[in-house]
Amino acid sequence: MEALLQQIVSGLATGGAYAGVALALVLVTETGIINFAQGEFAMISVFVAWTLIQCGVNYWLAFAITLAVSLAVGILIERTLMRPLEGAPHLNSVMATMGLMAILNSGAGFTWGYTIKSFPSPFPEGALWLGGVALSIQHLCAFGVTMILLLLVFGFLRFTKLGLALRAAHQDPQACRLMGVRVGWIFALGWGLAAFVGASAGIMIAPIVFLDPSMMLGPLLYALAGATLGGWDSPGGAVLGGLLVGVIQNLVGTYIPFIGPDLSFGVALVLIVGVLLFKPAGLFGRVRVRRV
Amino acid sequence: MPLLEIEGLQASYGQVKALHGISMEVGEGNIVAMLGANGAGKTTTLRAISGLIRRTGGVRFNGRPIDRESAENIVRMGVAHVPENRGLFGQFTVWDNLRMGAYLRRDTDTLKEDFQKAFDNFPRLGERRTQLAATLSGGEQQMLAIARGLMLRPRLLLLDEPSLGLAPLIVQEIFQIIRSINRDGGTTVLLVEQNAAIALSVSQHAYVLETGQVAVSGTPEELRQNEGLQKSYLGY
Repeated sequence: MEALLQQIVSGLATGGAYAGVALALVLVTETGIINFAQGEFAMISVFVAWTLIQCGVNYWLAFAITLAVSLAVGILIERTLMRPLEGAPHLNSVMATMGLMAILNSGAGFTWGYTIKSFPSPFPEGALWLGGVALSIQHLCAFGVTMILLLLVFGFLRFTKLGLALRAAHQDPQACRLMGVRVGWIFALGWGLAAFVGASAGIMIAPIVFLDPSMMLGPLLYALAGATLGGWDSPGGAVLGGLLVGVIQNLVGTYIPFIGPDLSFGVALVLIVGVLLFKPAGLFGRVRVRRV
Repeated sequence: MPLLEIEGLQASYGQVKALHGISMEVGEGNIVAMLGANGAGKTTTLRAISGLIRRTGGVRFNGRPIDRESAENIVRMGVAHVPENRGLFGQFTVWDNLRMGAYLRRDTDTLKEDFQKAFDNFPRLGERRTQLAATLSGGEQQMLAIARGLMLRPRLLLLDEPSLGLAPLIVQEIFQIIRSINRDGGTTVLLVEQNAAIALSVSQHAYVLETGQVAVSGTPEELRQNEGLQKSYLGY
């Protein structure tokens, strides 16, 4: 029982990062496409934060600067690289994000090298004992920070006018223009927010998975599984899906011996295919309501 | 000076020309009807005015040329367009649809009154304010589309076939509201309709379009007396 709880909590720590990337993916899906470079965006952000910390910048200052820069760069990339593809078939945009993924990955390797680096955690080491269960403080705090940032994004989407416009643009861009919404900028804002959320998820997971140009490939796949599980049109569902995938991955790796760490990638794929076969809208995705 | 002046307005869908030089005027405080058969270019004219499609020719709103402006900017000048098919956000509640209508409003104090006004105009929307727009009946959806357009406090309201697909009683109700919006609120209305009888009953002036051109125009009285017109376009 204690072991199970421990596995669940450490699953939540990585799951928090998957949830962050899953939310990022869902935010960009509002513009109609999946951004396969989302993980690499986050990876670059982590390298930026790492470089700042190496230069002696305080951890939390580096964290804040990185998030701000990520937000701005996300907006910039949408406006410069994705904008020309507006109106083209969505497949074109998706292929462009694949290209971006490869470029960012090798660009990071060229700039920072491929050797695995450790990334500092601002939280104390050690464990919190809860009735015989040792919970890693670092894992708990990483999870907590990710959740706080995700709640911020939710508050933004739910309670602000811009957030409302972001959700409206997904439903009907033309009607949005008739309300006076500058839809192009709203889509760019979605990209910026996605980069922001991805950056925080990446920084929180970096002490656990270590830092190298391919560090986000796994999390991206798990985030895809999480978003599919939770439902692509439900930001909250995507977050819960990401958390669930983190926990499932950990439990399956621990309790089903033949899977171990080697096959845990496969678990994500089985999840994706399974959900799409049996519940295509995901757990929390809305089956579109329509009166006929 | 008319609030809206259109001169030689042209627009195309790809290679196909849809408007061949439309000219019309909408005086401030009036309801002007645009009639005509399917495919005559009524909807296209509205889309060209509000900037949803590319167009050439002169469109002036309040004396200012708007034919090169984007849709987003034209809304900012106070032109609300309630489009064909209503353009509601189906997965939003009635309330959130109205909030979207007020997207450009900065005056949060007076905005509250306008929400109340929307529910006074359309009591049924008040009862259903937390319901998803997609689950409303056709008449309620049309009411919501109009109410959402009014949240902008527009000077000019472009209405595209508000009677489409609705039962006669509901159509009566909606046109009463259009009349009161115009009379009490002073909002100028350019109304596209297939239902010529009801459109003529509320308007001060009407244009009849045929294949992308203005075929006839005049007061409702003049159009009603024009027998050839009745047979060929108005169908009653």
